[in-house]
Amino acid sequence: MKTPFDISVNIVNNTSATQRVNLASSPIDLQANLNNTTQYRWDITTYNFSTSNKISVQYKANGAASFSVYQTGISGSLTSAVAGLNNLGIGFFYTYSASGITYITTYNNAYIFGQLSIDVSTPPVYSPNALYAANQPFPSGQSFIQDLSVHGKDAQTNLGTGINNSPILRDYPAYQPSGGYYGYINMPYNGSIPSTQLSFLLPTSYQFLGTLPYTFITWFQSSGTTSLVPQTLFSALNVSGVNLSGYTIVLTYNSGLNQYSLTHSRYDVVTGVNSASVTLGSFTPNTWLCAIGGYDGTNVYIGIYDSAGSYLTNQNPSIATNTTTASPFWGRDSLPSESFFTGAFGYVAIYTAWTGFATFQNTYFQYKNLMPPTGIIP
Amino acid sequence: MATTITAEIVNNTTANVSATMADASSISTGGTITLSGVSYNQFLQSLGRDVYLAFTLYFASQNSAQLTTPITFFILDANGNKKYETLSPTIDPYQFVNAIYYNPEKGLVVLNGNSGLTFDILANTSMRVQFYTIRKSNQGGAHSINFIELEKRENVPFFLEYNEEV
Repeated sequence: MKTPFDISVNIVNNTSATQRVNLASSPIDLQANLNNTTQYRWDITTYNFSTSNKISVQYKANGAASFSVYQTGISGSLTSAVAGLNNLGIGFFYTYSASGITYITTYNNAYIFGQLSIDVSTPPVYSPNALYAANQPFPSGQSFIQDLSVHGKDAQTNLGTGINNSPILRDYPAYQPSGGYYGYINMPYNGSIPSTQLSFLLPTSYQFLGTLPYTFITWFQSSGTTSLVPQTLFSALNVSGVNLSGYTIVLTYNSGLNQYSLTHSRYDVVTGVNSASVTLGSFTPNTWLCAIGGYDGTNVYIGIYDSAGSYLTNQNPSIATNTTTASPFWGRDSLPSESFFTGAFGYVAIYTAWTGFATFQNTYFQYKNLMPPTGIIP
Repeated sequence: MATTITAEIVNNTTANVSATMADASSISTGGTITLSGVSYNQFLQSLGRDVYLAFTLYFASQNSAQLTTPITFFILDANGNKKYETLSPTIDPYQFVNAIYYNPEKGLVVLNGNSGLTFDILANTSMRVQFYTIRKSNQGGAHSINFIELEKRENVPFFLEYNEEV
């Protein structure tokens, strides 16, 4: 007959934080953490983890001559920082607050801990490959709008009847309000005579053929009466056989739902169209909106801050191969339907990379208080 | 760019989580030997020499919420990797039960120094964990293997309990 043998252990959590326990594991288990009285803690009260991407900690066994360093990636939160430290596998780390101070802490009698280091991620900074900012005087009589980047990608003024029919800039009413606001360039409605509707011809390299990545970011306000949409912001689009080829970023209006949408589409004559679209929760004519459309070789992106300042984004896979033969335009497409833009542009930036939505958000916050007040378009 | 924070070392008189061997007499059954009069660290140091096969576990806490906390049994494999097995004692969280018996899968919970239970213990909460076990000891050393081999060949368990403590 075998004899039962009882083992009974009382465990007490003496802190005001939930603790992880490893019970009945021998001292060789580095996470054995009961009855440890030596506490290591790091004051993180003033630290903002939102931009952190790495954390490291010095550690050594009792009696060891020097520290080793453990480093791990984290995802911009205190929770992920603590989880990352616990992947070290020595004791358990947790957070607590006392007297207004927030700590990361661990108890350990077998190991000694030193400095805690937290790295801040540095997101890549993108510079526009073309920048058309209407925050400067427009030289009267000029037939192009200057690219303010260092790349010289000037945009040609253009009329609806075709390429190289170039009005001079005085035909585009431009405004520089007082009060430190940025100016803008006006593209008034003349749809009754489409051949005189204004737009801009972009450099050919902005056809973005194949699967080349790109980003368009713009501040614009649309006259937006329902009869004037769709309105094309950017496009390089032509008909190839019975199919379309190229890309468009276009503002549309659904009369049935009384909703405005911004859609970015890439067309492939073989595989069809891939689009990403956002429906604006709020749309007010002649109100400054900030929008982005982009492609990274895999996904097509769209985003906008609508009239209420709501941040809306969408993305979808796009394997379309762009084989357009159309010239790229800002303010119209090149199809026979000629969906011209009517309204005003205050800022246009074009990148030959997908910048991510972070660059878009930065642009929005950088300019939102500098765009002139709503409703001053004559 | 990195921010470096120096560790503050605090020598506390009380551990964050303390463990003591409890007097199990109040819940022991007749004929049971209770491990008492030893410290928790002494118990840990006995593991490896003594191996305990737990057939029933008992958890008790005045904080009934503690008993709904997930409990995991872990054991190190030959490569030093931890293998985990979730135990699933269940209580009705609305009945404020403060003790529960749990019978794990037979042969699952073995305390051998390379295994244990891992769980969260809630703030300012205490819990009693009791293992009802059969103890095996290797105090017979290598000779015990010879005895077992002899028993197999003869198919007679005449060394039964020879190598077990009474």
